[in-house]
Amino acid sequence: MANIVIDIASEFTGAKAFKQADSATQKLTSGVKKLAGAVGLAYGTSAVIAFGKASVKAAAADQKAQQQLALALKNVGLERDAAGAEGYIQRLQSEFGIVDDLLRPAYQSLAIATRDTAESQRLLNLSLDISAATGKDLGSVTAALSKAYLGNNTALTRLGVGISKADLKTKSFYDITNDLATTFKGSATAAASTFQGSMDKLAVASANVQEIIGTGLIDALTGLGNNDSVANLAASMEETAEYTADVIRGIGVLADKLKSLPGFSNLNVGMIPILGSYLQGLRALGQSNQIKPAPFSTPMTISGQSSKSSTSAQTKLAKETLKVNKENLKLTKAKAIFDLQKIQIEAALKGKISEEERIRLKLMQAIEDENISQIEKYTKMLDEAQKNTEKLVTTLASIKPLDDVFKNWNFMSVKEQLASLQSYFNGFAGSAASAFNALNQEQQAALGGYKPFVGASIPSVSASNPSMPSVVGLGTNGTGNQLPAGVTINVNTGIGDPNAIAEAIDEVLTNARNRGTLVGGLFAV
Amino acid sequence: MHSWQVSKMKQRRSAMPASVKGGIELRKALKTFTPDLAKGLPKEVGAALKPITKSARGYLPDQGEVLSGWLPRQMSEATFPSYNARIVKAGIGYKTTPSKPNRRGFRSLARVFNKTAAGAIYETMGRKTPQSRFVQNQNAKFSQSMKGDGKVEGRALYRAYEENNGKARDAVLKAITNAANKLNARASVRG
Repeated sequence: MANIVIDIASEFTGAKAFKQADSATQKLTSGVKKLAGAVGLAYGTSAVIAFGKASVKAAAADQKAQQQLALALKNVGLERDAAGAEGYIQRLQSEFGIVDDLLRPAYQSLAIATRDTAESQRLLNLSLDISAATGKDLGSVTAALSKAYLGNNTALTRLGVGISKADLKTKSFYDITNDLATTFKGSATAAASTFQGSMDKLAVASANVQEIIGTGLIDALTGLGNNDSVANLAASMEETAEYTADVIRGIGVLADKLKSLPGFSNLNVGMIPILGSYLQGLRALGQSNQIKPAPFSTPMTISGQSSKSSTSAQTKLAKETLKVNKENLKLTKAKAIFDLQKIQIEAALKGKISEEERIRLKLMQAIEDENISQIEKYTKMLDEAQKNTEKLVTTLASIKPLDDVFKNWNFMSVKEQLASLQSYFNGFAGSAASAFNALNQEQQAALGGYKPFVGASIPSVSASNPSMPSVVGLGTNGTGNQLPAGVTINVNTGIGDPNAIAEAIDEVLTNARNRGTLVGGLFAV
Repeated sequence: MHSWQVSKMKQRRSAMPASVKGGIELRKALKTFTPDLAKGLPKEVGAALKPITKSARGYLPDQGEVLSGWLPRQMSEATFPSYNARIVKAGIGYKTTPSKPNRRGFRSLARVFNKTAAGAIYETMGRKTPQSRFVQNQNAKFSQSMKGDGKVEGRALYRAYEENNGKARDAVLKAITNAANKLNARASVRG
């Protein structure tokens, strides 16, 4: 890539790489110091003595932890896997840089819970991944998994590893751990491959060196101090350490001097005249006198074969486990009788409820009973019911509301309409009379003899249908077939029923027409 | 008040940049307290750098002044960058915004660049292989003389910078100094 750039002015701000290098250097220095301490370099006599004590202590603690693990495995019927477990732990600590002091208790707790070597190792691997991914300590994670294996899921939820309550209720422990294994797969390996992981591995190596040297010191002191007190042993150790430190220091000076000689590059202790041969001999003696491990007396099995004693013990254990499980089941069923939640669901089912509510309650009941087949069945039914409900809602939403059929009707009571009509006629009569009077004679004659009248009287048409003089009107002879005077028209109908009103008006007008008052009277213009 | 200073030791007339201490802090302070000065500083710095880029563009050959085989082709026949005068000239410019830190931890406050591959080839061709056929043919057709020393020897940008005789750098430093002085003056008035 072309990089033709001229910086006119720049500022030094420090690079990120510098900080990383600085941090790495500090860590490396610390690690190297520990390692140097482990091999006794660059330290004085007091440091060597302190280191020797620490080494012995570490070796003793390590031996004790190994024995405890072996005992715990023996107690749970996994005695034959003790050696394999120790090898597995050693492999883990070198692979992931986690000291065996943490791995052994974790493995022990899982082995006690599961009583199965393969399952313990599977869960320990999972714990390492979860621990590396979440930052939680290994002990907490293994404790949570151990409890969950035994049926107590509370600790597992508190780990915050993305397990829902529904998962805990519906899935088996094996399924949950498989999910977790998928989620956190490779976390421990990834963590181990980082710089911090490398430093951890170095720390593990340093601790192992300390334990190995401590074991050697224990061997040596056991050989030296068979007949002495502890105080004498300590004194011997210090003297030995001081002596060793002086020898190391002397060798350092010697090596420095030898380096100045031409053709001499590296110091080989065996090449030192006289002293070298003694030291070589001492080394061979030490190697040959290492305390041999005790013979392995545990009965070995090949491909699942086992001794009679261990088989019978395992059978007995399996029977006991089965018995406990059955008792737990009975206890759970007994508790269910007084389970308020279940009682409430049962009571609700007996009430008047919709089909969807009934399905919901049945589903709740199935969840309470942890009945998987019923849960699946009612979940499907609930889904269908909800889909149907949604469909109904959509259909209803698509229906447009009915228009108001009466919105254009101008409601007015019949009495008001008649009053208005009367007022109109009165006005009409007055204005018609005025208009007629305003006409000249020719114009009045042109109207054909019609002229307004008021209070005209005509004889009754019949006894059953009497006619009364109308109030106003137009007629040829001052009278007309007017509405009988004094007749009150009552329209009996309900206010607000337009059909009834229409019929009532129609009836009144029909009657008026039948009587002749409508045509020859008021409208006979 | 902002402590900043220009290292006089670094102000030799070469491509070695002047080391400004507190330049980025100064920009932040200007932006916060005196936005007008914050806008004015890049303009002033740009005005100082523009003569270099203008000269550098002038030293670049036009489209008809390069070897015909170096011109853009219908179909790419190789990965060797073709020379398009318009693009190459547009690739010469300047920046006044602070860059990301380089591997040694320095952030550039003002810089000029020749960023196209073809521009870089013309800039530096013949430094190591002056007798190569490509260099000789191009020199025969059109070429500017190279100026500068070592890694900053070139025909366009490096030459323009060399011929600028450090005026741009002095102007940039002066602009930064002035901006800092103005900021301090205003701060003391307000204080």
